[in-house]
Amino acid sequence: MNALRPEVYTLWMALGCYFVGAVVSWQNAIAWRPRETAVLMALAAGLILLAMAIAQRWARLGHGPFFNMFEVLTSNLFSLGLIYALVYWRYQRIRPTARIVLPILLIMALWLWSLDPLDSHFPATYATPILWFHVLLGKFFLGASLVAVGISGAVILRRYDACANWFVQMADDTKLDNLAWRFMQAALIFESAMLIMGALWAQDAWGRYWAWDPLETWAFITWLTLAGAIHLRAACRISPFQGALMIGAVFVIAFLTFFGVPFVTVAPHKGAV
Amino acid sequence: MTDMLKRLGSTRLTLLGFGALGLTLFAREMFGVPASWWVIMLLGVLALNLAAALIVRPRLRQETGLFIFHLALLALLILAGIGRLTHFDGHIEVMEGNAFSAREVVVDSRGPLHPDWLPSVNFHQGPFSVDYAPGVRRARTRTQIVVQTESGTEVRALGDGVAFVARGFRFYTTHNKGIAVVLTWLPTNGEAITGAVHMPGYPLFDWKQDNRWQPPNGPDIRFWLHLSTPLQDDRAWTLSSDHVTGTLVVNTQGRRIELMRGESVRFGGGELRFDELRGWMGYRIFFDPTLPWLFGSAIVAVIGLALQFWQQSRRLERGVVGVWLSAKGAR
Repeated sequence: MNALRPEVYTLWMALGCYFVGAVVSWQNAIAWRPRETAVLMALAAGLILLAMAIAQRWARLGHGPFFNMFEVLTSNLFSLGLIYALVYWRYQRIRPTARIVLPILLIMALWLWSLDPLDSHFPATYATPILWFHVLLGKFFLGASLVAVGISGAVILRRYDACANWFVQMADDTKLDNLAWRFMQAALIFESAMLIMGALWAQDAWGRYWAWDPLETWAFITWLTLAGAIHLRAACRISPFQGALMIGAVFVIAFLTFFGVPFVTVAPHKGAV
Repeated sequence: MTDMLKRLGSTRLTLLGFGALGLTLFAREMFGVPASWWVIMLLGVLALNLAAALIVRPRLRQETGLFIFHLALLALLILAGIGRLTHFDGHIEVMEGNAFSAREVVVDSRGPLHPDWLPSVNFHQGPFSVDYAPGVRRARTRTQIVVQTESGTEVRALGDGVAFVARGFRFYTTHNKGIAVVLTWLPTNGEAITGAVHMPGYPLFDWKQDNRWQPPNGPDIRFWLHLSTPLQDDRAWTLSSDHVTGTLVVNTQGRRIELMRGESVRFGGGELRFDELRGWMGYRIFFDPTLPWLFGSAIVAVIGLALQFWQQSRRLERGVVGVWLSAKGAR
């Protein structure tokens, strides 16, 4: 294991802030004492510390958090946290979704905590501005999906008596369903654009725009699932509950594509060659 | 006819196509099921479904964003089909100082309608260098080629992300590169022949720098290249043929001979001279005339999606969800 660098301590503090945010959001649900500003403050503190940790590592290694699992998870905890914090700040009505979204971020944080903060080598094929567009669009895609999952989670959970009070201040299921699918439609735009940028990058880096490598195949399966879900909702009578389940399924596939596939394959897409 | 078009353009068929395509790709990815033809067939069905839907479903034509997106998607599928019919995918190793020869290209795949323009491409391989970080991790690749143009010769610099494009063929440097042994065979009777034996990729196969060659009317010869500078993985270094020296071990007819640069050995049928070491660069060759059109269609498709989203969002903002969402307070 590498010696712990200062950035790792900063990172643990950031994850601690996310933990506090998640705990306070649940305290809001259980103790019925809304402390929404406290959640936002914890998120903001976590984001500032995460940005510092990323900057410290960047300055030391000379490249951004793009390559190994430790870097990708750190970077996504920042981007997903930032997107959710902006939505949380802008739309007060959907703030109870923090009870679903923050635990998801916490699971990612626990995963990150279990990893060795190995230094990475930046492959020459990654030294292109296209990478930035590709990665940023991917982050917007996953961020929009995460917000939709938060809203859908409320639709699913409040069907059960034990959780009925947790989301009582949110709108009825139909309104939430419409809203969640707006985020999924935005996610489709970002995912489509991410695939285009990925193809452009692959053409420059490896001389082929699409080769059905494992990550490309799974990214396309994610696109198909998302596009299929949007078509299914448009063509058939889908209840908000069923719609929420579909959103959850798309998010799971997207999550596995983002964090599972690139790290269980040695295909060139990983940029190792 | 209209009924058939309606069925062909139905959303149910779209969903069926999506599902079948998704499952096919899943089976291919998880269980290694050969699925290329199924994928092509399903994409074909989805293209027909999309074309029919654009004709029979007025909503797809009435909403500008939706129309642009679906039309661009159809163009994308058609262009991808044309691309597969005309494409070329191959690779080649070119030694420093040598000219590119289309005859030596290894064809990986080519479409049935591919225009055979590759023999008209010409360039000479110049020097190259590849940087390595500690741990033998590849960093920057730089290479020069010399191209014959109408106004004379022109030196081009290639490398990571910079391809050489000629007659639509795109030449990309790859991780595959290595060292070639330049030899001259001087037969007892006849003309001297100079050629090169490419050793396996370096440093990927640094432990296996061997190869075989049989000169015309000569014995089968096995070569092993022992490099003077061993591979060091604890520091940064640069691979370049300028820095490479080594001993060539020649095994033939039960004899083992070590040759330094410029030395020669005589055995049955002639004399073999070890002239020098040079580098060889491996290129990937890609041809697909639809590339810029594919990119353009994909961008238009995303613009269409974004337009549709924007139009729907404006409606939503004016509706009950928008009113509820933009309200302040927890309830």
